[in-house]
Amino acid sequence: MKVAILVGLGALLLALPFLPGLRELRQPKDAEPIRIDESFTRDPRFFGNSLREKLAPFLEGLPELPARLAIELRRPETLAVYADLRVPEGAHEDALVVALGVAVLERGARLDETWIRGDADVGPGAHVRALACDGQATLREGARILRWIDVEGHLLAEAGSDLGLSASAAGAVRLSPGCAFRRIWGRPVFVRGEAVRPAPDERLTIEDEVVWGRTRLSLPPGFHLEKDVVALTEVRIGRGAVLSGTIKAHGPIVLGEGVRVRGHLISRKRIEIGSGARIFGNVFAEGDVDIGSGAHVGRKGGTKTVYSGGRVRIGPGAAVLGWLIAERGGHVE
Amino acid sequence: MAVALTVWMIAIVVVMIIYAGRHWVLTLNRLLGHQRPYMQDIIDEDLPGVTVLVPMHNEEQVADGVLTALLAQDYPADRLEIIPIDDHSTDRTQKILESYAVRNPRIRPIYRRGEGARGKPAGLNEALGIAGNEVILVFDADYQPPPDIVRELALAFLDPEVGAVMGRVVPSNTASGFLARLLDLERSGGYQVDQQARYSMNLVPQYGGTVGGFRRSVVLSWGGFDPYVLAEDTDLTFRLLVRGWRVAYANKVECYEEAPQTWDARFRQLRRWARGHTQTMFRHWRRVLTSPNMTPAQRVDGMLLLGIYMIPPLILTGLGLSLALFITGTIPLAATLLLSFFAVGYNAFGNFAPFYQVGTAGVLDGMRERLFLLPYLFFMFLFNSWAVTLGAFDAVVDVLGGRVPTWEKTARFRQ
Repeated sequence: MKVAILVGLGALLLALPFLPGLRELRQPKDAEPIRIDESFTRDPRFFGNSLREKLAPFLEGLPELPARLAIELRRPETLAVYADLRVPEGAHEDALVVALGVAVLERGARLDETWIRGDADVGPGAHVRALACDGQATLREGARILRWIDVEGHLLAEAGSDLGLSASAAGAVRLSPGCAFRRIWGRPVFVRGEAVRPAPDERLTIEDEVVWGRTRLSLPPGFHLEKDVVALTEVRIGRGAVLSGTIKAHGPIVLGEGVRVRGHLISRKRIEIGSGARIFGNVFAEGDVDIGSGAHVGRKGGTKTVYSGGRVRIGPGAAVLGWLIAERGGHVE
Repeated sequence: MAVALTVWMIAIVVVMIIYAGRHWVLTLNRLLGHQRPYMQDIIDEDLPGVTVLVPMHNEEQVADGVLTALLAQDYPADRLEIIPIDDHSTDRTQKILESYAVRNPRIRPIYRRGEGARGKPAGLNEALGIAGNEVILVFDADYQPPPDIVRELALAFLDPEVGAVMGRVVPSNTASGFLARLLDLERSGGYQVDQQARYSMNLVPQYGGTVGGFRRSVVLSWGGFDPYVLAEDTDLTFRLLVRGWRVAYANKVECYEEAPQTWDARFRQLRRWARGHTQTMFRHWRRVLTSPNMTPAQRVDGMLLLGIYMIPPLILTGLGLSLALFITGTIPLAATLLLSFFAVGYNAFGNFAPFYQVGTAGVLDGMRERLFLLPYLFFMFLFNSWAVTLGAFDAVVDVLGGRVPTWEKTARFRQ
């Protein structure tokens, strides 16, 4: 008897892990394949275009303006429609907002999701959760976008403004010192101000004169400046050098002043682009990216990307012709 | 004799512990470590020309699907060429390809007939001869490439160190039965955790022969694929590695595949993989150990990857030996139990689709009820062990006896 009980208990213990799965096998609840979003397209202006598409049907046949409509999106919402919009200092509109003309947010005003058909002027210290603007948008000093901003014209961000998680413009994005950002799309993205000319560096070493690999800077046969460079450690390029290929390094890449690279910069660490440098390809770093004063990334007529797995610091007069991504935040010097 | 056998058993246990440790390290990296980003966020209008190769043998059930998906790619039409490789098909595959080629000049099929080596590597070689682009991507005929996949895979080659790229494979027919559900779990662990962790840790992510690609000039520089290798993907991975090239892994670049739906088809597939992989192990292990182009960590991971299909035969050999020693009275029961304990422990923590690794992947993938199926992987382990053991022995016989393996296609199930 004892043996039978022991055997029974043993069998039960062995079977126990399989019991929860039996139900799933008999009546599957989670048998669909892992979802792959096949409709996904990498559109930096997705948020703005999506909001415009959602709200456009409600703007047909409007009564006299201003109007407040009860609409149904994913949940019931209130839509406030204005001809021109002026939000007074410190005021808060908690509906979805559409302005068919221009919009001005005065100091400290707050809006939620907003579509401005004309120009938008977001005043000092004003907050907007999300803003689609069909004209030109200006973020005044200390203005803050909480989620995203998308602009059909140019986007001008004044000192200390925060561009939120995603900022995009069909035209240019002009940044000012102290701006914060995560992802920016613009043609170009550039920083206002005169490029700073650094003082000449008199401390020349052999590294400034010759190609110099401390460990394994591996150069392919017949190497010249038109070849790609792959290095297992740090790469330093002296001032004024011209490279036609791509530079890939497992360590940091440090470019001196005025370096020109026709290919891409790819680093598993950080990338420092010296002042006045020109990078015609993409910049991809798992660490931080430092774009020096007056440096340019990309080329006219061809979209390029600066991607940083860390932070981006962008100096005065610098420009990116395309997409600028800072996974851990960006800052304008 | 008893001493030698005991040493052999201890060696097996040590190997099992090493593999178990490897899986712990990879899983912990995936959960807690820095995750290396892939380049899919890059938007670059200067995209390279790409040639997509689709090896086919009697693919009338699936040819239409893969070609339609490739024609719908979000990629500049003038920079995308598609070469379906009809390898001695006897069904309607050729007619389907002809109808597509007439309507779409981007599709340039090859019809392989007559004498000469058959199989995927030989077909790829022929296609490489006429491919017009440096970046080559490969999709098996039963795959359903989403619209952005060519662009996202091609981006890997902006990096001059990358010789090959691999995307993630996701079974689409998970609702078709018990086997497909278990394979779904295995795939999830293998890609979401194993491949991504190896990529993040700068180890040896593996090119898998489909949903991936390579540089044409590099492969042609060593004369193309060996037509008598069964695992041309593993062979390519290690050829690249010992020469200093790297394989990039793109975890978010996903593509549906059709997983085998019958145990017989899975058994044959796995046996072929084990045979080909072990064949590759015999070819490359010396070079992996001595290559100056690999880091010490890559050498260790490369050797563990090469030897992974030798583990089930080792375990089965060890179990058989311990039973023999026990029956003949050479070793006591305790030692036999010790080995059994380690075998069970290895099953739980160390085989190539261990429970915790799959469980971690499942959580990362947002799985819910299907995680209850994890214990059923025990049966998969027994099944896999047998198929892999036979495949590994096939490879040993191939190498010792000079036998030439022949390619065998995995059965399709789509209606």
